[in-house]
Amino acid sequence: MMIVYFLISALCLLFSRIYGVFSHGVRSPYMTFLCLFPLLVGAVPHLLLSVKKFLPLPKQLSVNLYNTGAASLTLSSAMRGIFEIAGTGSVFQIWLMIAGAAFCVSGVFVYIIQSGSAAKRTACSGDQGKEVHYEKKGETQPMV
Amino acid sequence: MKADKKKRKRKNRWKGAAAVILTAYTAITMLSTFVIPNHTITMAEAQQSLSAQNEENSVSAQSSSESASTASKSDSTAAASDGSTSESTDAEAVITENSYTSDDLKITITEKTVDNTEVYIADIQTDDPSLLMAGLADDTFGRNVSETTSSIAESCGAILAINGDYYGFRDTGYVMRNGYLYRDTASDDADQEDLVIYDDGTMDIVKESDVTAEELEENRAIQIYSFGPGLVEDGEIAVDASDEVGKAMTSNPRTAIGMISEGHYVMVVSDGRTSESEGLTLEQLAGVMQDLGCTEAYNLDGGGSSTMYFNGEVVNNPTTNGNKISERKVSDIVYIAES
Repeated sequence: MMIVYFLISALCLLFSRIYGVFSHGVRSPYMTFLCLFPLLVGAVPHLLLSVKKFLPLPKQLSVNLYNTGAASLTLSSAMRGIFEIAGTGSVFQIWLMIAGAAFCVSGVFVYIIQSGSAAKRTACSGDQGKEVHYEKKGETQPMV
Repeated sequence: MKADKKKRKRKNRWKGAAAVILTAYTAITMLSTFVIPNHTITMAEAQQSLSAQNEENSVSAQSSSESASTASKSDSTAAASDGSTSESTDAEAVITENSYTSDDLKITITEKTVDNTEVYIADIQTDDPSLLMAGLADDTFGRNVSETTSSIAESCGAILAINGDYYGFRDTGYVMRNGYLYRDTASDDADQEDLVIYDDGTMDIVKESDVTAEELEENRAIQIYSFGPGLVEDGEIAVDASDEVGKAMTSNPRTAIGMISEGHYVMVVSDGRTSESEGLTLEQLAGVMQDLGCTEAYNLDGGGSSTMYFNGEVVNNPTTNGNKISERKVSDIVYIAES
């Protein structure tokens, strides 16, 4: 997933540069820094999860919510850039940005809840190996 | 194995649903922003409601005898001037390739090269400021309602026209045309400058954050354009290279309108984005307007929208979609007509 986010960041960078060529000198920060959304919201958290092995891996629901949020934010930023360069705006774009942020926050929230309850279960059983077994059952989502 | 398959299926279902919803949402947003017309009110309806409002005002004014006599006088004056205008237009207008002369109006079109750019200048002198009017595409106010400048000008019977502020591309910014306030929502941009034309023909540049549309209406504004920025204020250039952010910061086709003195206006359009004509920066355009003697000058929508129409012909070379020479559809025009 991390590699996918890096690829999307590269595509966004390419898109914003090409769009810049045809925008007659008009700039928008949302278009210029478009690649930062998939990079900072997507790739960096996934990189942290893969590096910090002590962090529990997120479950499917949390991943789905977070990825949907990251996609919405990236799309919303691209739209905002296009609109600002054209000299217009849309309330639909603002709603998409709000929805994207809400999805990301809820993804993180679900992750925290699920990690908490998994840690509790591990502590109750007193078996540190339980978590590993839990993962093996396929209830967690590998990120990389 | 089975659980894995089930999980992957569920994951794909979420992915698929998210992709479909986001694609549909993007399509709807783009179409509603750039394509789907949203007609709000026609100019005829707006003028009807305006005259009904004026009638109401004059009825209440008649309750005091002093106001009543003033109203009847101004009515008769207006009726008289209407009659004389149409008469003089039909009888005495002298039209050449680059000029129009009648009793009440004199228009001269000149063309010159400034900074590798073709600039078209319309010099307008009139005793009757009400000849400076605004026209809307499809005779209707609304988002994405658009027509070419020449097409709107023809339907308005314009002698001279330039593109306006393309209000229909945005949801905010004051819009007043021919005395009717179509939109009173201020722009989110605190620095948004508007051009206000009052009923005595004078022009002023105001910031939307400093004044409400209703206050401008009370001060007898008849046109408010929301694009900008102001180029010349009190005879001084009001922009510099660092100000050129947002709408355009490089050499481009431009449209501007300015006032030299009461009843003496200029409309300027520059070509751009071609090898023959580079285009002007806002600072260069402000310099052109100042050189023409403008005390107030304002930048209207530029780029592919920049068009000047005179006596049934498009005078300049408007560029649409890059370097293609053709007229772009716009929301509105500023025009001069005698009728």
